[in-house]
Amino acid sequence: MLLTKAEAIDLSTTGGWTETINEFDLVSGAGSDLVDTYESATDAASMTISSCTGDTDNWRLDVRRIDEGGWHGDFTIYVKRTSDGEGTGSVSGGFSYLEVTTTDTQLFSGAGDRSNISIQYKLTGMSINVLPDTYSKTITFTVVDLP
Amino acid sequence: MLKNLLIGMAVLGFVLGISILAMADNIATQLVSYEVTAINEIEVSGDPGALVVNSATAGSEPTDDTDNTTTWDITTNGGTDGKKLTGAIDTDMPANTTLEINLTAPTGATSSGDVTLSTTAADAVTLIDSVAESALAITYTLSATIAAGVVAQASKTVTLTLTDT
Repeated sequence: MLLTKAEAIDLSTTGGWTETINEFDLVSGAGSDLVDTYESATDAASMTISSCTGDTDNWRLDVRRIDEGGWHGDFTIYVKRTSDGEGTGSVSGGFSYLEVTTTDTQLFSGAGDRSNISIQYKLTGMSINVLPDTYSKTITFTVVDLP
Repeated sequence: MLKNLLIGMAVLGFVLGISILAMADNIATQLVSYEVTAINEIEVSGDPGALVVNSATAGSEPTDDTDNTTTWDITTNGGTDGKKLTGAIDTDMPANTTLEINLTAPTGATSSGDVTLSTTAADAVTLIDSVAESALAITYTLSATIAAGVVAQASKTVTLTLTDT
C-alpha cells in the first residue's frame, strides 16, 4: 500500500530557452552597454504533473539551479508560471518571477493532474563585461507529493 | 539476536523500497542557454570641418590647422586589453603635407597621441578593454611645410578599424 502511494506523482517538461545576445541588443548602438534583462517567450517551457491519486492529491513544484561550469557570475535567472494549464486538478501561485537559486524553492502548488502549465524565464545581469561565449544552466524542477 | 537482525533488514528494505519508488519521475530538468557573440561597434559623430593651412609666422613653417569638432563611440566585449583601434586614409597625402589624428582613449586603454595617417593602418588606441563609452574626442591636425607649395583642396576618407590586439 505504501509503495503504491509513494510513486504517485510524475513530472515531465518540454521546451527550454536559448537566447543569443549580439550587437542588436545594445541599448543605443556603439558607445552604449548591452540591455541588462532578457525574457523568454511566455511559453518557453511546459510542465505536466500526472499520476496523482485524485484531484485532492496535493503537491508543490520546487525549482533550483545546478551550479556547474559554463555560467557567468553576473547572471541571475528567474522563472515564473504564465498559465494554469489544463486538467481536472488545480494550480495556484507562481505568477511572479522567482529567483532560481541552488536551493529548492517552491514555485507554485496544486492538487491533482495538470498538463501544459507554461513557464517563462528571465535573465538579468548582462553587460559588455560578459565575454563572448556560450553559457548554460540546468534548471531542476521537482514535484513534491504533500500529505 | 538473529530475529532482531532479520527484522532490522526487513525494515531497512522496506524503507529503501519506499525511497527508491518515491524518486521515480518526480524530477525534471531543463537547460537554459545563452550565447553572447563578439560585439565590436564603433561610430563617429560626423565629418570634421575643412582643414586649411593658410598662414604662418614670418620666419617659421606654416601654422597647423586643427579640428576637434567630432567624437567617437565604442562598445566592445573583447576582454582585457583585447582590442586596438587603427586609422588609415584611402590615398596618401601630397608631398610635404601631413594629416594626423589623435583619439581620446576610453577608460583603461592607451591613446597613441598624434598619429600620422597614411594608407598603412597605424595604431591610434591600444590595450582596449571591454568597454562602452561615447563622445570620446577626435582631433585632426593638418600641417604642411613651405616645400608643399600650394595644394589644391582635396578630401581623404579616414577609416578607423577595431581589431584584435
